[in-house]
Amino acid sequence: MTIADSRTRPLALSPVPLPSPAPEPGPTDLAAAAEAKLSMRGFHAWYGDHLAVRNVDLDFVAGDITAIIGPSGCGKSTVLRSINRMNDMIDGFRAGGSIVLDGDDLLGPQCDVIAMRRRVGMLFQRPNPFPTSIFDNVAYGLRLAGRLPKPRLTEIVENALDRAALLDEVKDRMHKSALGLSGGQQQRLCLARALAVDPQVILMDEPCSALDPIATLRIEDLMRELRGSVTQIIVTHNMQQAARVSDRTAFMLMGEGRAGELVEVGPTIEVFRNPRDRRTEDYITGRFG
Amino acid sequence: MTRRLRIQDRIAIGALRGMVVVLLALLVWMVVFLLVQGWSELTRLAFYSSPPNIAGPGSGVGPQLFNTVYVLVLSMLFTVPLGLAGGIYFAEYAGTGRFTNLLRRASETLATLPSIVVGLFGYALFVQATHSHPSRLAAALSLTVINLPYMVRVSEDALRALPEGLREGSLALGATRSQTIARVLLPAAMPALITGVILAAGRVFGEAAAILFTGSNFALTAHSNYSLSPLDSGDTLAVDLYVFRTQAEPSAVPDARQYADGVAALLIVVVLLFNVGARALGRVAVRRGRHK
Amino acid sequence: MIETSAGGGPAPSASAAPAAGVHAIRRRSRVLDQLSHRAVAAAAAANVLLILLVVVFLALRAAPGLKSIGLGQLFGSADWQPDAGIGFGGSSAFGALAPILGSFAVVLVGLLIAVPFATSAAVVLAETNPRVGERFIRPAVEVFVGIPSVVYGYVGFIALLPIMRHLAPPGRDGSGVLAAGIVLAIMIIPTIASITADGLLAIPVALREGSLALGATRWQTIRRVLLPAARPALVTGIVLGFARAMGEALAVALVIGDVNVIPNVRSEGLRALFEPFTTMTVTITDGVDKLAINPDGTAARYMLALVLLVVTFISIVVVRMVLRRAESRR
Repeated sequence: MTIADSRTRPLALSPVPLPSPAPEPGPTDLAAAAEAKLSMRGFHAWYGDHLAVRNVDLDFVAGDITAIIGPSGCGKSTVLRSINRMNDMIDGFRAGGSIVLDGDDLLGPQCDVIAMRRRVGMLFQRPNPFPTSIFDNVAYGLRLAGRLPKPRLTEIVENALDRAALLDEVKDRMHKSALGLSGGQQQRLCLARALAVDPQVILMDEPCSALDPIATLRIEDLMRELRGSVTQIIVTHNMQQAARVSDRTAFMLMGEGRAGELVEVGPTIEVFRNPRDRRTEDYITGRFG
Repeated sequence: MTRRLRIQDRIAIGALRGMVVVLLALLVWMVVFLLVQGWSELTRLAFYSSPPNIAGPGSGVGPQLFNTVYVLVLSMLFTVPLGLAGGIYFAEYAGTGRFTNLLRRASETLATLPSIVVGLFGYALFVQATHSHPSRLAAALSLTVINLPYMVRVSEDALRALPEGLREGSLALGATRSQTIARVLLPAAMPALITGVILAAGRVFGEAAAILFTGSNFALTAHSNYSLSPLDSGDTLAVDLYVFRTQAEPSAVPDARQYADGVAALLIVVVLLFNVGARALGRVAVRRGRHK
Repeated sequence: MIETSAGGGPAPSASAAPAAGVHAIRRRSRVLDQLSHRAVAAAAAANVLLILLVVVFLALRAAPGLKSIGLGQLFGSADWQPDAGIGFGGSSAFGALAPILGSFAVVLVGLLIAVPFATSAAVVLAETNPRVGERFIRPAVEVFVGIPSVVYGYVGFIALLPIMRHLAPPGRDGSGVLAAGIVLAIMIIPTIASITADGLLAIPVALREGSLALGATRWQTIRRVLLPAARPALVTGIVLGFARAMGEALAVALVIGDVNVIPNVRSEGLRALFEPFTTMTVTITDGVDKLAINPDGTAARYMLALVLLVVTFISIVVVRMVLRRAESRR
C-alpha cells in the first residue's frame, strides 16, 4: 500500500447481476433512510478479480452511532474504508454503487476526496500519532488547509483535546512528543486530531482492539458524548461493545463466493433481542464466529 | 481550495519524478558515452595485448589487465580467509557484550576510511617500513585493509541467514561447534559466500588511490610485463587511467585520448558485467536455496 | 550454544569401540574447537588491530612534521611550496590552508547538489513509484556505486569541463570547485539515496494512512510526515556522503585544476567556482612521486592524512549519535 494511488480513481460502474438475499426492509429502515447522513446503495467492492463485498444497502442515521459487526473477513473494514476512499491506495481495488453524503456521491468521479476527508474522519485499529508533539498532531489537519493565526490555532487544538477528554492530562506537555503517551491516550489524541477539523462523520476501524479495557471504556464514553454532533460508524469484533455503545447495528457475513454481504440492520436493541434473520441470531448467541 | 493543494501536489511530485529521470538519464548517457568513445579501442585486439607506449601510438592495456587480475586475486587470498574467519566469529561465537561492540565499531570505522588514507598507510607500512619499493604485494595488502570489513559483514550475513535448525541438528548429533561450522554451515552458506566474494572483488576492482601509493611507480616508463613476482610494481587498469591521463605528453603520444577512452570504456564494461553476473548468481543461489 | 558430551565424529559400533579411542577423539575435537575459536576471534580482532595500526603509523610519520612544520603553519598559512627546499636554494613552505578550505568547499558544493537529487530518488523509490523504483532506481544505484571513481573523474574531464568552459569567464579552462562539486555529487547521490530510501520504507504504513485520512495530499504527507520521520536516515546518509566526498582523491584531482591559490571570493563572487583550486586529497596525491625524496613534504602530507582521518572519525561519531537519539525516541 503506497501513496501511489491515493488520488481519485475512475470507478468501475459495472453492476453485478448476482441475486442476493437482501434484507427485508422493516418499518424502522424507512425512517432511517429519511434521517440518513450517509447512504450506501448497491455497494460492491472488488480486489482485483475477487468480489469482496456484494450489494450493500445501508443507511447511517445522522448523529447516531452505527456498529458494523460480523466475523473476520466478512468485509466490514472494506465497507468502512471505502467510505473515505482509503481503499484507493490498494492496487486493483474497485468499488461500485453509491455512497451519498449530504447529496454528494463519494464514489463518483467528481468527488473531491481531499475535501471529503475533512468531513469524514477516521480512527484506526492501532493508534497512529505522528512522531511530533501533541500540539502538532492535533494541529496537523488544520495546517494542511493553510495558515491560521496562532491564537486561533491554539484555541481549536485545545477545544479538540477537550472533546477527546485529553486536555487536562496533556495541558502542561502540549509540545512534548506524542509518542510518550500511553496507548489509550494516543488513541484519544488521534480522536482529537480527527475532531480538530470538525468532521461530520467519524469512521472507526476497531479502535479499541489494541487498548486495555479501561481505555476502551473511556473511548466508548467519548463516543456517547459525541452523539448528536457527529455521525459515528464503528466496525467492531466485539459484540458486547456494539451492544453497549451503538444506536443501530448492521450485521455482515461472508456469503456466496466469499463475498461479504449485509444480512440484517436495525436498531441495536432489536437486532440483539429480536433478530429477524436466523444467521444473525446464530452469530449473536455465539454459535459461530 | 483543494484545487490549489492538488496543483501543488502534482507539481511537487512531478518535480521529484523529473529529477529522478534526469539522474537515470545521466547514468545511461554516461555509460553509452564512454562505450561509444572507447569503442574503437575496445574492438581492437591489440589493445588487450600490447603495453602502453609513451613514445608513440598504439598503446594497449595488456600488462594492466594482467596486473589487475593479479592484484585482485592476491588480495582476495588475504581478504577471504581473514574476512570469513571474522564473519564466523561474529555470527557464531560473539556475544553481545562490550568487547563485541568494540570489534564491530572498529570494523565500521575501518570501512569508512578514505582509500587515499589507506594508500598512504599502506605506503608507510608495506613500503617505507620494510625499506622496499612499491609492489603488487603491498597493493594487495592495502586492498585487503579496504575490503576486510565488507568481507566480514558479508560472511556474517551469509551465516546468520542459515536456519537455526541446521546448527541444532548438528550439535544434537554430537558435533562440536567448529565441526558444525566446517561441515554443515559453511557448505550450506556457500552460494551466499561465493556471491559475497565476487561482490567484494568487484568493490576493489576499481580502486586506484590506494594502489597508486603502494603498487604503482606512477610513471609510464617501467611496466613489469606480465611478471609473476609479487614484489614487482605494476599498475592496474584504474590506476593506469589516472596515470596516463596525468603523465602522457600529448605531443609524444598522439592517441593518448583514444587510449584513455578505451581504458575508461573497458572499466565500465567490466563493472556492468560484474553487476549482471552478481545478480544472476544471486538469483541462482536463491533458486538453489529454495530447492533444499 | 551447548556442546553435547557425546563423542564427536561417526558413532562407533556399539560393541567394539574401546573407551580410550572415544576419549581420544573427544579430546582432539575439543582442542580443535578451542583452537578454532581462538583463531576466529583473532581474525575478528584484526579489525581493531588494523585501525590502531593505521592511526599509529600515520601519526608516527606525521610526528616529525609537527615539529618542523607545526600546526600553525599547516592550518594558518596558504603558502604551499613543499618542493622548493629540495635542490638548489629556496625554502619550502607548508601552509595547507588552501587545500583544507578547498576540501570543505568542494564537499559543500557536492552536498548542495546531491541532497535534492538523492532525496527525490529516495522519495520516488519509496513512495510515489515503488514498482518502477525497484526495477530501475535500485539497479541504477548499484551500477552507479560500482563505477570506479577514476572513471567519474575522467568523464568529468572529457565531458564536464568543456561545458564548464562555456559557463566560466573567458580564459579559464573550466576546472574548479564547481566541476569537482558536480563530480562528487554524482558519486555520493547513491549513498544518500539508498540510506534515505530505506529510512522511508521503514516508516509504518499507519502513519501514511493517518495523514491521508485527514485530507492531506501525497506531497503534504511526504513533506510533513514522512520526510521528518525519516530524518535520522537522511542525516546519516548525508554524513556518510560527506565522509565519502571528503576522502575522494583521484576523481577530484582530474577536474579541480590543482592550483594552490585561494581564489578571492570577495572580489569574484560566484565566478570563484570556476577557478582552479585544490583539496587535501589532491595535495596528498600530487606528492606521490616524491614521497621518498621529500621527507618534509611527505610529513606534511601525512599530517593532512591525519586531518582527513579525524574528519572521518568525527563523521562516524555524529552518525552514531544521530542513530542513538532516533532509537531512544522510539
